[in-house]
Formats: sequence, C-alpha cells, structure tokens
Amino acid sequence: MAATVATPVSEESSQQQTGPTAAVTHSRLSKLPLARIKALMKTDPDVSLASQESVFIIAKATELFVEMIAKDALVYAQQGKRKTLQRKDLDNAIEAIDEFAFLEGKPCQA
Amino acid sequence: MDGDSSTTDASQLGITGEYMASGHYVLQSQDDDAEENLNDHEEGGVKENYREQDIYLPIANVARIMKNAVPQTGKIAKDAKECVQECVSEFISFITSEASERCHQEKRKTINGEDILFAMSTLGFDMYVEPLKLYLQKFREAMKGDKGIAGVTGAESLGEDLTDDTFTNPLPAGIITADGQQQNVMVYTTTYQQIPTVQQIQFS
Repeated sequence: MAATVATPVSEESSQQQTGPTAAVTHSRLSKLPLARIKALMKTDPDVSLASQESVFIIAKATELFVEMIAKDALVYAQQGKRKTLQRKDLDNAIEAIDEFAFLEGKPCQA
Repeated sequence: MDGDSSTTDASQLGITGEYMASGHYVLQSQDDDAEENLNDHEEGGVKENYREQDIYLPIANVARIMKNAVPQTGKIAKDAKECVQECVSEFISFITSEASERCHQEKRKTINGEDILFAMSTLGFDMYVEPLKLYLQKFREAMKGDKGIAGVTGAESLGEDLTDDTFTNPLPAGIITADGQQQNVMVYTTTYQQIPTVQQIQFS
C-alpha cells in the first residue's frame, strides 16, 4: 500500500532519469515508470546490471501481460453474466492458463 | 608502544594513529546505515531491505492498461486491480530471474534486450516476442536520435581497428557497444582520492 502513495513522485523521477529529450520519447513509448521496474529487477540478488533497453522491453511486456490477463479474466466475468471484472475472474484465468502457472499461490488467490 | 587507547593525540605516534583509525571504522559503519536510509527514500521511506513482494507498479497505470482490454461498458473491481498489480510484480521478477540466468550462462554481467526476449519465449510468452521486437526497434531509433553523433562514433570505432586515436578520446561511460550494436549500460563508477597523510607514517 505504501508503494502506491509515491506514484506521482516516481513517475517524474523516471522521466528525469534519462534526460529531457529522451523523457519525451519515453513517455510516448512506455506507460509504466521505468525506475520502478528497474527497482523490482534489482530485488533479485543475481541481477547486477540491466541495460536500459531491457528495462524498456520488460515495461512493454508487462503492458501486454496486463492486457492478456484482463481479457482472459473477462471471459469468466461474462460467463457469470457480470460486467464488472472481479478478483475471482482473475483467479479462474490463472488456474486455467498454463502460462500463468507461476502466479498460482499468490495472496490474491485467497 | 603500550597501545594505550587513552592517548588522544594521534600526532605523537604512528601506532597510536592506527588505533585511532580503528575508532574511525566504527563511525563509518554508522554512516553506511545512514546511506542505506537515504537510498530507501525513493520508495516512500521504508527503511528495510526490499523483498520482491513489496514493490508494486502504480495501480493507476495498471488499471489504465486493464481498461484497454475490457469493453468500455465494463468495470473493474478494486481487488481485481490489486490482484493484477501483484501479478505484475511477480511477472517482472519471473522474467528477470530467467533472463539473468541466461546472462550468467553466457558469462555476461549485464542483462540486455535479447536476454529478456529469450526468457519470454522460454517461459511460454513467445507470442509477445514479435511485437516486442518492433518496440525494441522503435526504442533504439529514439535513443539514437538523442545520442546523435556520439553514438555513431562509438559504433564506428569498434568496427575499425583500434588506433591510438580511439584511446585518446574516452568513450562516455553511458555507451558500451558489443557486437556492433549500441546498448546503453548504466555503469556506476566510484572514485576515491588517496589520503596523503596515510602515506606519511612516522615512527618515533
């Protein structure tokens, strides 16, 4: 919960990180804060250095992942004749799809 | 020569100076703790080592992307957004550790875009690889436009034989090229000055 509080600050800092000109192009290409993604990658003790483009690719991949899981969960919501996407729809999608196997056992599964 | 730690005047004996230095080490460790606190300042001031579960991407960004996937009449429950937020952090860690493993196998220290793409196809997300390659191309073109002449010079100098000229012009730390491709690498270098007083130890 604490992480969400720092939202506006982190987005600005991620844009300032790569210089003013680059920030304009980056804001068009990536919707997610690159600095936060980089911080996430660094929590892995095996990771020493990550190139800027690798952070960018992960940002883009994350966007695709979010769209994918939302669309898959939507199927279950529609089966339940609901228009609101709920947590149990996501749980069903995670259980059903092989690629999402790494997400099983998450707290949201409770 | 007694090594009496009560001696406060370091100028009397070089040996006493060394005992004083050990006192300094104690102070330095406290300074290190202070530095760690400063580093954690970005993440909302929580003064612990971060586990991967603690860092999430902003929920507003996540929700905005989810809305692209559902029809406009649809809504998203708040706990669903939070669930995806956690899944995203898990996803990033998952891909990163797979890419880092491949990187180690190839005896490289820096994770680059190719490692990520390989990890994605290994983990079953190969449907992402083609769109990601397109985005990677756009990104590289955007970065080349920013770097301008400096980037081109760096790439060219690697293609030619190394002459004396290439050594006189130091490459900027931000650009390290390999295999003729331009990559941006974050290189953190530390510089420290030698303390001249250390070299002058006088034994009376």
